[in-house]
Amino acid sequence: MTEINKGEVNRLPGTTVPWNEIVEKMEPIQGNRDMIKAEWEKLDAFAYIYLWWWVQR
Amino acid sequence: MSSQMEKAYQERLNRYVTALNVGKPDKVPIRLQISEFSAKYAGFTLQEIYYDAEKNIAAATKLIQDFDMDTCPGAPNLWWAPLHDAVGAKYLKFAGRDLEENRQFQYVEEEYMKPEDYDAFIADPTKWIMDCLLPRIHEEFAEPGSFRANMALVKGAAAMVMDTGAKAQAAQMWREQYGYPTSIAGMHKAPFDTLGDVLRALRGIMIDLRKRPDKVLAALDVLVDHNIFYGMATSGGNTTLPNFLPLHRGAYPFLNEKQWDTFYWPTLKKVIEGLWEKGIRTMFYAEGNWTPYLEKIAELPDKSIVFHVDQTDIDKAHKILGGRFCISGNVPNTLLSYGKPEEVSDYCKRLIDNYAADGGFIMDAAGVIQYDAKVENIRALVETTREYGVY
Repeated sequence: MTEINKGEVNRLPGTTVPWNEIVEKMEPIQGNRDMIKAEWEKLDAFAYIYLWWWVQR
Repeated sequence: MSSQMEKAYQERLNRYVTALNVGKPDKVPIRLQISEFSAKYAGFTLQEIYYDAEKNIAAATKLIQDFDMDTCPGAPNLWWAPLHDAVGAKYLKFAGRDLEENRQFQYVEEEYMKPEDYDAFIADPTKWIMDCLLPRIHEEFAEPGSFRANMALVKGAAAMVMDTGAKAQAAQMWREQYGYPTSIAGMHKAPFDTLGDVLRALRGIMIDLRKRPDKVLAALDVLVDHNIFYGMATSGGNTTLPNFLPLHRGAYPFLNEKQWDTFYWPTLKKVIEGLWEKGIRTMFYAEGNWTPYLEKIAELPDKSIVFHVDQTDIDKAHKILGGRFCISGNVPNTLLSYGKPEEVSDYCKRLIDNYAADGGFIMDAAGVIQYDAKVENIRALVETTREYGVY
């Protein structure tokens, strides 16, 4: 059986590396946090779709 | 865009959407779901449409130049072969690579998810796909983290952007130059099919229903929100056109009625209702026979699906679902391949007489139109519907 890393971030649909997992590495954010978050999430959603595309057929 | 093409686009779209909303447009809309037939009609080999993105789009363009329909069938290849070559995807065989240049692609069905994978899949399916599934189905991922594997990931993602972008540009071109809307926006699947097609395969899922039903139910529950998201994301926010739902293992008699009630329907219903709450209608592409399940399907919110008839009893479908849901189909593909134009014409007239009188009906083949359909029969379908299907 594949091992599951306990305490891992819960990956909601549409996410691969959630914002709350990456934002700590960006702190302190100097400018518009929402802009950075929104663009991160768009690209992350694309990565998610890429992975699931191999399954949803 | 010229005003003439914009007018043609709006007329076609309005005709199509009126029927989707169970209304009566000026004519019975014609929406043909066509794949490999487009290549044959345009004079391309199947290798050319699987590999050459420009010819893939040109094949669909040729169809809308020559046939008066209401939606563009879209580019004929489901899968762009170079994307699969980039990662070494071994579950599809393509014309010109593994097969003769005019052979339809073939899917190699195996249990790519093992019974012992259920717990990891249920806990974190996205991570499981990346860590476990892709290395199994992509030969270039044989050594995860290697240069070859990393490059395959880069090229696979880049190829998806290229393919998606080319098809989006084509849709815009079909609108501006030919006045055609596309028929669908995005796709999703029934959770049971997500699990039972690529992952566990038919043999695996059938064994699981007996040996590990609780795991199956848990996995299906996890898939509901993922499949809603997938439908939303692939629609690009489009709430006008339906979201394509190709239905597989739910056709009778893959499952008995108790299995269908327990495993297939509850999570599929949640996905359809979840999308409908966001304004997205489902094209319920019921491949095979769904007659035993029509009463259950009627539980869905009015207009939330277009019920597509393949081998389902269309008379029963019309009685049970008609008036609340648009119905589409069901010109048999065997008739389009082996019949005569006058037989196709008679069949279309019967459909119009019996099921289209009050609106809410879209003319289409029973299944996706493949390489073996005859040109004269497609012409008979289109011309008969245009001439006879006027309200």
